[in-house]
Amino acid sequence: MAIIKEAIKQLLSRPVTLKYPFERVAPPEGFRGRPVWDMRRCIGCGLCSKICPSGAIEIIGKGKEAKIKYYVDRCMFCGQCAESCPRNAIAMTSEFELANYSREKMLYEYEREF
Amino acid sequence: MKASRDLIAYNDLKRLIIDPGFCNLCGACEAACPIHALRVEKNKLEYVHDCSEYVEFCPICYDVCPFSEALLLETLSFVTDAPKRRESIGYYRKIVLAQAVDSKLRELSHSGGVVTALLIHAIKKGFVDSAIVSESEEEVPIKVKPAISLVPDDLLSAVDYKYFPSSVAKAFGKAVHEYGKAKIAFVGTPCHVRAIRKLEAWEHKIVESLKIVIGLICLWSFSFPKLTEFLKRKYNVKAGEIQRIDLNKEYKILTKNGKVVSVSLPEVEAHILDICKMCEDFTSELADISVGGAHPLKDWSIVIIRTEIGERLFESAVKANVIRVKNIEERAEVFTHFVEMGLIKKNAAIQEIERRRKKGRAIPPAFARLLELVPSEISLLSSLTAEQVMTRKVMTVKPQTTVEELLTIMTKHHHMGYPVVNEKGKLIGIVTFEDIAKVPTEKRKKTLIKEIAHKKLVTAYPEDSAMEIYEKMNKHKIGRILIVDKKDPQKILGIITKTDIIHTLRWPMKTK
Repeated sequence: MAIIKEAIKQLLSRPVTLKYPFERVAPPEGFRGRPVWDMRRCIGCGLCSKICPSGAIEIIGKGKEAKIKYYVDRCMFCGQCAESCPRNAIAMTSEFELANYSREKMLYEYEREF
Repeated sequence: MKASRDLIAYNDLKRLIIDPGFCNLCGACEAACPIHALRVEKNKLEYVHDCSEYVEFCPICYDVCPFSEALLLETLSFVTDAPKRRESIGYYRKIVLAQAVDSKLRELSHSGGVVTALLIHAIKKGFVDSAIVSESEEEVPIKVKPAISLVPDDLLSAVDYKYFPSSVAKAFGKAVHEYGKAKIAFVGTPCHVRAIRKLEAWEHKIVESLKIVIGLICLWSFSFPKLTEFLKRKYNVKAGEIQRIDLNKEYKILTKNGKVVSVSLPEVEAHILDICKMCEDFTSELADISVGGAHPLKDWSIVIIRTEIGERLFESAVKANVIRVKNIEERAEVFTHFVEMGLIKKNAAIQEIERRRKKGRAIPPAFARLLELVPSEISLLSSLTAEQVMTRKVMTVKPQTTVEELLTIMTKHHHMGYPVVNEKGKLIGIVTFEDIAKVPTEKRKKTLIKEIAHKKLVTAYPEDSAMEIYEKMNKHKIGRILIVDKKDPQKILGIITKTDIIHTLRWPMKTK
C-alpha cells in the first residue's frame, strides 16, 4: 500500500534534478570556489604559494612589490592558501564555473595598485 | 633605530629584542607566526625551525613585538576616540572606583575583584565565550602561567594577579588555533596589551576573535629566578610558600603560614626585568578598560574606561549589580597615590633610558621611537603653529589655594599641572603634581600654592611652531608649556602638553 502511495507522490512532484544552465542553486555557505586575493592586505610573504599542494600559486617578487599568479586549471580548491594567510588576504569565493577553452584565460594575476 | 628592515623579521627580532635581553616572553610573536617557528618554553623564546626556509619575506614577528618601533602610532588609534586625554593616564572616558559586589571575589583578588567580576559577567551574558588571564601554577603559587578560561567557574582560580612575566599573548594564539574560540576577552599587563593591540593594528587574522582588552595597572615585573633566589637567601622565604604579593611603595609578601615580610623598594628593584625599568606605561594606555588596585583603599579598584566597548561592558555589569562604583572625587588620596606611582614609574624609565644611552647600551626600539621623531613627523610639527595645537580653555588656580584644595581639583579634572593666576588675571607661576607630591601629607592643609609654585616659567608664543615647542619641552624636561601673549607675557592664551603633541601626530592618520 505504502509503495503505491509513494509512487503517486513521486509522479506528481517535480524532479529533484535541476536543468543546470537554466536553473541554478546558490552554492552553500563555506563552499570553496575560486580564491581571490586582496592585494591591499597582502604582505607578500609567499606562504600561499609554498603551501599550495598542486602548485597553482606563483609569487613573483617579495614584500610589497609581490605579484601573484594563480593558475585555476591546477587548483584543487582545498582552501589551504586562505587558511595559511596570516592577514586574511585570500578569500574563497563561491565562483565555480571556471572552465575555459584556452589555458591563458585560466590564469589570474593580482598586483598591488599604487 | 634602523632605517630599513631585514626581509625575515626574525633576524631583526633576534638582533634588536632577544639578544639585548628585552624579550618579556609575552608570546605575541608565537601567536602571530604563520608557520609556528617561534615558541615560548621554560622562560625562553625558542626558535623552533628556520623560517627562511618557508618564507622569503615576512615582517610579522618584529612588527607585533611590543618593544619594536613598528605600528606604535597605529596602536593608539584604538583609544583616540575617547574624549579626554591626560598625561600619565592616557586617553579615557572616565575614571571611577569600583568593586565586585560578590565579597568572595574581593577576598580572592588583590583589590576590588573588578576584572574577574567583569569577565564572569561578560561570559554569562554571552558577550565573550572565553577569557585569557594569568593563573598561578599549583605547586609554586606565585609563578604565573597564562590560562584560557572557558566557563565562569574557571575564572575563580585565576583572580590574583602577580608581578611576574607570563605569556598571555601566546595563550591568545592558542585559544584561537587550538580551542577555536571566537569571542575572547584578553587580560594583560601594559606590554601584553600593547602586543595584542599591535596584532590588531597589523590586522592579523587571529584578532578577529578579540572582543575586549582589559589592561592591568602594572608597576614592574620581576625576574622570577632572580627574585626567588634573593628572597630565599635574605628572608628565608621559599617560592612555594608565597601566597600573595603586594607591590606599592613597599614590597609585601604574604606567606602561606601567615608571615608577612616587607622588603623596601630599592632592594627588590635590582630584580626588576630590564625591560620594565624602561617602560613608561603604568596604566595600560591602550586597553579598553584599565583596572588596578586603589591603594590605600583595600577593597576597591581604580577603573579607567577608555573605549566605547569598554564602557558598554562596564555599564552593563554595573546595571546587573555585579559591580559597585564610587566616585573617585570622594577619595582624593587614592588618586594622588595612583598618579604618584605612575610618575615613579615614568621617571625611573626616563632615567634608566638616559643611563643606558650614556653607557652606549641598547635601548628597545619602541622606547627609542617614542623619544625621537621621524622626518615626516618633524615636518608636520614644523608646519603647525602653537595656536593650532594648543588647548585654549586653561584651568587656572589662585595663589591662595591650599595644596589640599588643589588635590581635590586634580582628582576631579585629572590635569597634572595648573597655571597660577592672581586676582588681576596675571600669570605668576605654574604648579604641577610633582611639586605637590613633595609636600608631606600632614602639611598639605596649610601650604599655599604660591609657596610651592614655579615662578620661573618656560613660555612660548602662539606664532611659534609646534616643533620649537616640542624641542623646548625636551630641553627643559617639562611636560607642558604655557602659550602667552607676545605683548603681555602675563596673559595666558593656551597650554600645550606632551600628550597634545602626540595627539597631533596621530591626527593626520585618523583623517585618512
